[in-house]
Amino acid sequence: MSTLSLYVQFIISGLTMGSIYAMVGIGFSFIYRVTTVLNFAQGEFLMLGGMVAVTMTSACGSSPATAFFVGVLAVTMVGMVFHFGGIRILGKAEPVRMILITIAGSMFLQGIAYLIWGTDDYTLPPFIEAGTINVMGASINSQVLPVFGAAIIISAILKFFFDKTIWGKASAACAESYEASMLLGINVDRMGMLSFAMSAGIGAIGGILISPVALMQYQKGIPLAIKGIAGAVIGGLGNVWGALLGGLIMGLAEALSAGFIASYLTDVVVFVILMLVLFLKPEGLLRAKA
Amino acid sequence: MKKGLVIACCALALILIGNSSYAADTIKLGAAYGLTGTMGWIGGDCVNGAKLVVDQINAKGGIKGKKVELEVYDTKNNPDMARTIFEKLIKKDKVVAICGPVITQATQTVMPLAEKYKVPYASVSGGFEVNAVILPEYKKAGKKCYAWALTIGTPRQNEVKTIWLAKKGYKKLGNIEPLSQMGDLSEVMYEKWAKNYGLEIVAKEKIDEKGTDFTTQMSKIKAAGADCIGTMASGGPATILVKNRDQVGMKEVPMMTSDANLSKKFIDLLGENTSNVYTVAAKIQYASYLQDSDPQKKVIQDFQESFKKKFGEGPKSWFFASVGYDSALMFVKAIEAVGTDGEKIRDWLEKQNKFQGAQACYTWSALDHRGIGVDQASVMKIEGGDWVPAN
Repeated sequence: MSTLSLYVQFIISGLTMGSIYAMVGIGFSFIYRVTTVLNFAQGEFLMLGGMVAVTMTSACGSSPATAFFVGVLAVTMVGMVFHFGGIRILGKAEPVRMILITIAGSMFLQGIAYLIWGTDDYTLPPFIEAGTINVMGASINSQVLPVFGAAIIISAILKFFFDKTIWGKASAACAESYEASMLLGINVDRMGMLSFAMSAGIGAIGGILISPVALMQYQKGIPLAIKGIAGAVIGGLGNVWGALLGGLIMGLAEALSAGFIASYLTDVVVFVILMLVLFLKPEGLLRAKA
Repeated sequence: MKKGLVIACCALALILIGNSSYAADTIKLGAAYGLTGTMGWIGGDCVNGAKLVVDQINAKGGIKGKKVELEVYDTKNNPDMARTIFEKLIKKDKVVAICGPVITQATQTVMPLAEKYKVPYASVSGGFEVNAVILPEYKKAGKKCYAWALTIGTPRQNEVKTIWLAKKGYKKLGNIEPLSQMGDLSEVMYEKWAKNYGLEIVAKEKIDEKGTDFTTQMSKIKAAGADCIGTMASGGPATILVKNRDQVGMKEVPMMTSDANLSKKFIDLLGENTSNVYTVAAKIQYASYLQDSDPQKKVIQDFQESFKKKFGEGPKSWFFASVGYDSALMFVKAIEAVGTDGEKIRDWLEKQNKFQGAQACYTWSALDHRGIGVDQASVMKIEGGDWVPAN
């Protein structure tokens, strides 16, 4: 394998992992944009999406498309219940309390997943025909393309949502001022639920798409969430393109440090980058849209 | 009032007598396996194997007339919980010996306890460095080790794999290990065996088991020119490694993996990527391929029949069921021979040569508390949806 191919392979690996992280980060940033809640259970939405889809295909024998649809729908509902039960019931609470609630929620969802699915890894049949694509001597797993594509498409849709639709503008307003939004007739709580529902759905899409590639397990949400949320912070909390960019940066940092330095230093490198960004540009690389 | 008091005293007396007479007439063994939690799927089979031994021995009247009882606890594969359970088994239940635990850390954590109270135990752990590190140290210090581990173990299985690779003419090994104690031990062992059997280690990579993609490490191994790969990764991470290996164009490169992958479940996870994936198994795993002249074959068949008869179906894994079985069996046989003194049991076990277990024929010694020789195991490959011996 020529050196160029090797480096290209590193980059491809980085973009692969990065798009997975981005799927978490995008949902995370989205919820923050609308509700200012830092939803640390975002990783579990991915995990649950994948797990429900696995059960649909293996236990119920459904087609990939049905499994996909049911998975997204089920987790969207989980997101709505999560918002209603965990967030809305407490009304306006301090951020720290909200964070603790989402962390507790994350552990709760993991517990439920453990009870239903145990500790095993599960896989989904591939969505795209399994195969590899050669790029400059390096190879891309064809099943990774839907993940990458989904990350970009979803980011674009959300940008359109915020900039061009009335719902999007209304939801962005909610975060800026609860009282002003209420006065203008925006049902803030409903917007909050909408954001949770959409984020959960986005998470589920991500989880289902990565299951054929990276498998799914009840604790898989945690490492993805750590890097995805770090990516969202790097990219600028609340900025959806930022979450995409940040996630990709995280993935690339991981792959390039494993490739050029050593695998056991990847976590160190990744968090050094996080620290650097927080010190030098705390609001993130792309500023959150005002 | 008085009547009530009398009844209460009688009830209390009965309870106390009941418990104490139990203690006098029975011999207690402990089973401390992780039945839930990480790798929780292993413990259930082990416990059932041990229960089978207890049933069989009680059916024959017990040991010198005393019934054997098995006290079962769930360690959740958590080292601290394992230690708590060992304390309970030793101090409260007063067991003679303990079957379990499963994972390396738990096995290490309970060792001082077992030594202090002289209660031998037989673990599952493959990464527990009893033969490689502990026994030689103890021999120098004149200490007695109370820990056994009834699996081939990382050192020996890597030896079996390396011998096979050398025999097949492979020369350049790429080593890729999880960032864990087991991974580190495996790396050291591959270095040792590669030197012994004439292979060269051309790449050493590490993976985070929580990761999602290892093509970076795989492509580095390819770039180093490896013609074979060795790893102790298992389950999900191992599956991703195989897929990544195929993705970077190394489908023909044999990948030797951990014996924890000896299950249909792993084969299912691999999907279509089953070519050139290998592991190592003791005879229990390929009993039907043994020659009829091999005495182990009948032992295994009898074991499998008795197990299915007792439980109505086979275990998830014959491997772990046999480990549980042999753990209980070794202690039962030892108690029959030398009584319930923990130190005597352990001394007796160390003298055993060709101890007939369900998994294999064990030969233990002061420097070997695993006992499964290279001749008791074989490299396995995947064919027809199952693991079969590779020749």
